[in-house]
Amino acid sequence: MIRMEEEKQQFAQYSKLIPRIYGVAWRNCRKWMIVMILSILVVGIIEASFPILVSKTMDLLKSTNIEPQESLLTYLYRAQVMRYLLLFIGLSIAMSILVYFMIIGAGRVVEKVLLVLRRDLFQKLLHSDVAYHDQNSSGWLIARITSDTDRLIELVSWGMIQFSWSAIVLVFCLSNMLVISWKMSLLFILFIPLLFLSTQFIRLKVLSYSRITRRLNSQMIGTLNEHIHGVELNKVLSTQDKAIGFYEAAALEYAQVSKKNLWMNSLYYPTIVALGSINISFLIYFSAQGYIAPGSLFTVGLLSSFYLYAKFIYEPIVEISNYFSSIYNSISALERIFGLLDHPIQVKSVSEYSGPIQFQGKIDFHQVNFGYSTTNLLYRDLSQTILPNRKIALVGPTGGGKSTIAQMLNRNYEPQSGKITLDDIDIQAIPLDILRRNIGNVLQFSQLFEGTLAENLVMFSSREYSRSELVASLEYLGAQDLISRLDEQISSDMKGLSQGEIQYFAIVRLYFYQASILILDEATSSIDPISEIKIQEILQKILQDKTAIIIAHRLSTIRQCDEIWYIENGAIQEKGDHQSLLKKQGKYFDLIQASKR
Amino acid sequence: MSEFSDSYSASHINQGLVLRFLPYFKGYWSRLALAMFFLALVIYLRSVEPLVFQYFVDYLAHFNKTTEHYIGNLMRKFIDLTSTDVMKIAFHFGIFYVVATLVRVSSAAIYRYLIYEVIEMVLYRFRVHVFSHFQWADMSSYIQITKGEMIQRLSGDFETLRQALSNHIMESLSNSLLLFIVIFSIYGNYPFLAWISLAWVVLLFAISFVFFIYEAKVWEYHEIQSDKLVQIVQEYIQNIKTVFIFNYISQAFEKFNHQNQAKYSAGLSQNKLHSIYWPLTDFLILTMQLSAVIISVYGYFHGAISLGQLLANYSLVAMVSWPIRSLGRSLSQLGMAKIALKRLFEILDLPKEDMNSEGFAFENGAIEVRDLSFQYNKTKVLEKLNFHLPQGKRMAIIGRFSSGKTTLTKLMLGLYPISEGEIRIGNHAISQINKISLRAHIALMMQQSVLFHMSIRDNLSYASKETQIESMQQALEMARLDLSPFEQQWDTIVGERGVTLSGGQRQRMNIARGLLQNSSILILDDVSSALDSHTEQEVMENLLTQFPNKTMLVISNRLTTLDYVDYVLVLTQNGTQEFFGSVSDAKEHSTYLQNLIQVYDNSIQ
Repeated sequence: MIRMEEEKQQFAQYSKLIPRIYGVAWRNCRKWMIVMILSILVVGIIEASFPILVSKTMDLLKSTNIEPQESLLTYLYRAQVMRYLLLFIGLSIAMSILVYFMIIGAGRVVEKVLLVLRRDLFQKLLHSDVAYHDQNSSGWLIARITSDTDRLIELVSWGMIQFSWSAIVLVFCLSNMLVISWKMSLLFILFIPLLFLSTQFIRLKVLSYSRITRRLNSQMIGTLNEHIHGVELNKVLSTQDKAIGFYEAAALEYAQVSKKNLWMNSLYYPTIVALGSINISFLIYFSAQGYIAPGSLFTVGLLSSFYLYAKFIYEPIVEISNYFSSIYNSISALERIFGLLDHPIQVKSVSEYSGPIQFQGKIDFHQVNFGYSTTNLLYRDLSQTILPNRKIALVGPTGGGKSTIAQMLNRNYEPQSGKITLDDIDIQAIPLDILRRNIGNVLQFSQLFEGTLAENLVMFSSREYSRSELVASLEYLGAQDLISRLDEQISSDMKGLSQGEIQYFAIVRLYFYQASILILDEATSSIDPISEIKIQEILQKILQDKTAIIIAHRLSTIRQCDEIWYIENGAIQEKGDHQSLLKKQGKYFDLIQASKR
Repeated sequence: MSEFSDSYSASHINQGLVLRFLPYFKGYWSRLALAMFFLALVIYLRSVEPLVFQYFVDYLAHFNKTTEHYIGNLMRKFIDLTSTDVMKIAFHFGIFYVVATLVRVSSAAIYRYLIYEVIEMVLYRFRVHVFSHFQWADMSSYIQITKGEMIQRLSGDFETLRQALSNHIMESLSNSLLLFIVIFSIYGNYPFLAWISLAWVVLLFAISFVFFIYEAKVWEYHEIQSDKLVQIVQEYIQNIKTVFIFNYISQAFEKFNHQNQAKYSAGLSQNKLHSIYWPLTDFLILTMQLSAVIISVYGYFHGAISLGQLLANYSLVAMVSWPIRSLGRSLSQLGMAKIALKRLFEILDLPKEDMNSEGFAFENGAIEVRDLSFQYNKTKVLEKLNFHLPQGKRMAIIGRFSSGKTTLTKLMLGLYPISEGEIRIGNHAISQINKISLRAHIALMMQQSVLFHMSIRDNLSYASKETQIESMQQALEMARLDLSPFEQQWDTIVGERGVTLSGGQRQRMNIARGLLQNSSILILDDVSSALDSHTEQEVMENLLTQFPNKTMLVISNRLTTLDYVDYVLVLTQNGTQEFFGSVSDAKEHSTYLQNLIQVYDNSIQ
């Protein structure tokens, strides 16, 4: 009973998801969809009418006796078979042309649907909240765009062809059979629901097996992902065999269930055929009865076309059940695709805005309450002002809330209540792109992209830089050592670069971004103290005339700031410049003492 | 999996893809043969089916006149066609039809059961082989095939291969077989028609073969476009925060769109190929049917065949239309599978890490480096290093960024081949030593190390045989990681790459895991950067004072580290050695260290 419930729910979901995917096709590729469906329908009708031609021909041949000395052609004319033969040729040509349109149409529709879905998914990810990206692993999200969409090919192209073809052939065959003999057709019409009911058991089995298979498949791919990315670690730890063991176990479990799943799936067709054979044997028996009955209108031709139909009609039934199993196989992909497209976005950008595009850099926190979960607030009633061009250092223990300040300013996470203003404008009223243009960040683990160093440095700038301008800027900053390296190729996984080097590049990159507010989150943590002296000089030039928030644990970085906030447990415990805080002999003083040891 | 070891893949490099794949079927040939027997039975019974109607129609039309067909002789054994009791004969025909179908259907089920078993097990073997080859491959391999591509191949390409093996190879085989049996059946009715049909079938096969070749080409291009798209998606989604903070959304979208269009066009060109093949074969099938009708009529006209035979001929020819269509579909899938197979064998062709097979036991943990130089991509990373660290001593490696500190640690584990000079550990040159023994001897704790999606317990014991709670407890204490915040304690699952832990917690897990390896040499590569200074100091003090018998290398920019070590190695930014010696000598002779001390003093005043 639980299974029945489960299937009911499943069907409720199908009834939403399946029309939705065809809706996408309809909206984006209406013309080709019509072409495709129309050609399938006509192809189906043509195909289903061939048995009529055969039966007519046979009847005519049977009723026309062959005269001696007659040529074949005159016989065929006399028997009036010629027109059927010509019709056959005409229909064949028409059908080939229609098949061409059917294939072209199906291809267009499926490629377009995939194009649109991939585009929408990527766009959605580009506008999703940081929280959403934090909660979901990137591999999981990437798979939505890359593998899940591909899984819809069967459903969208073959599915539509199978279904429309089957439907039209089924209707056409049944109606022709009705015309030939309604009594014998009744045998079939009553039998079809019986077929679907009796295969119910297999369908349920297939459903549960395909669920397990999917789960084991993603488990296997998870293990794969992990140990491909961790391959260097496995070498370092000499644990290759252990990793292979994990993968082997996952793959074996998958193989064993998958084989059962495949087998169950393949039982559909035989079951239908086996049940159908009983039906056909009835047909043979009753047709004989009809044929020998006195005054029967049955001819050999009618009988033959009836047999042809009776066999032919199982094709669409099998195709329809194949269509259902392709729905089973793609339903989880559909769920995940539409699940991603439907998840709500919390951090919204405003569309109407008349304020400035460049900001001075005055930041105010007005009674801000913030927590990563609503039940557990980190900041309560935070109110602070940062004047333009001031440099603020945030210090304190990990987990105290330093980075949260940066997260809120970037609108990666939003406060539960209160507001943050930039030049007295609520940051929620500023369009996200304008806000982001005004805030430049260097993160602890910065990311460079595939391309040359020069491309990387100016990648995010709002204007073009010529090579000479680039060189001049690097000279101005005091980063001459980079000039000779500008054409160095950087790979997407930044192979061959040390962590300190990456941080250095990211700091120089910040200069070209030209934002009015800068946030540095442990931006020099991997740079050795000697190199840091030079990089501090570069940083001073970048920070000139900017508002800056600097999270650091190195004293050299902190001391030069105008103001130091000691943050612990979501509150600013101490605030002031280096000297005044030292005099106070409080927490900041302790921190400095600890690092002196 | 030893039967598919390295010697296997090395010797097969230049052979055809299919030949290379066959050995994975080892041990399953008898099951395959049994499956083929049932398949043949299925096909034979399928071709009997139209004959049931042929016999019956003839029986009704001519009554006592019998038809002859060698395939149909089976039926005549069960049914007495000379009887005049029409209803009894009809009943017999019905029973015969049901029984024949049931036998056919159960044979089909047995056949599929056997075939799926074989295919899943073969794929399982192949999958594990490819995966383990990648695990044991040389580090340089990971530049040839990136990790992203590797994942794509082991998931996507395997799916394509599985589709082809589980459905399409057998389907195209059974469809081809069916074609010939149909022709054989027609031959029994009317040999002339059979020859004509054979000519059509040969033509269809020729066209299909050409199609198959083109399909593989088109699909390979499609896969290349796909790979490029995956790379773009990966690059931007993995680094989504950078994209956000630098307002790069529209540019990223533009780049994606461009490649998305390229994949779309590749898909359309594949479709174009299909749109030629399908109507062409369809037309040929229809003309084949037409010729069957015309020739049968001719035969009927000359009295060569009966009306029942005419019907049977038509339905026999009609029977091949779907098999030929699905043959096209299968060939398209097989073309794709060929490319998938090619891409998977590319992985197996990656060079393996050189493993001198003999295990090795070290006597001690002394480290000696002589004239060591290393180049990476033709740039010098390290040049002429020389130092000697006796067993049980500690050494700090200091130097500016990109001075090759991390590279030096990786060279000690034999991850990259040394360009010049040598590294000796426990008095043996590491190039002569089995790498597994070497790596068991050294615990390297890397800068940005990952955890696996397992419990804390399993992560800690991942690289050691030691699974006792007490020793794990000890390691955690050394690393100053407190389990009390975790609700499920040891059984807490750390998430993919340890995402549910903070950066500091991850680093401390990494340290504890390294300690549990119980090696005689410890290398710490900046393992505490995410810890606050107080915890960091505690951890470093623990590590450097609690293991007097271990040889240790520490990369750290903290001056306090120098209090606990015996030696210092100073590297310059060009990867040359500025100084090696005791800490007190270093303070006198190393300019870098003097600068460092000065900078430090300035900063705390």
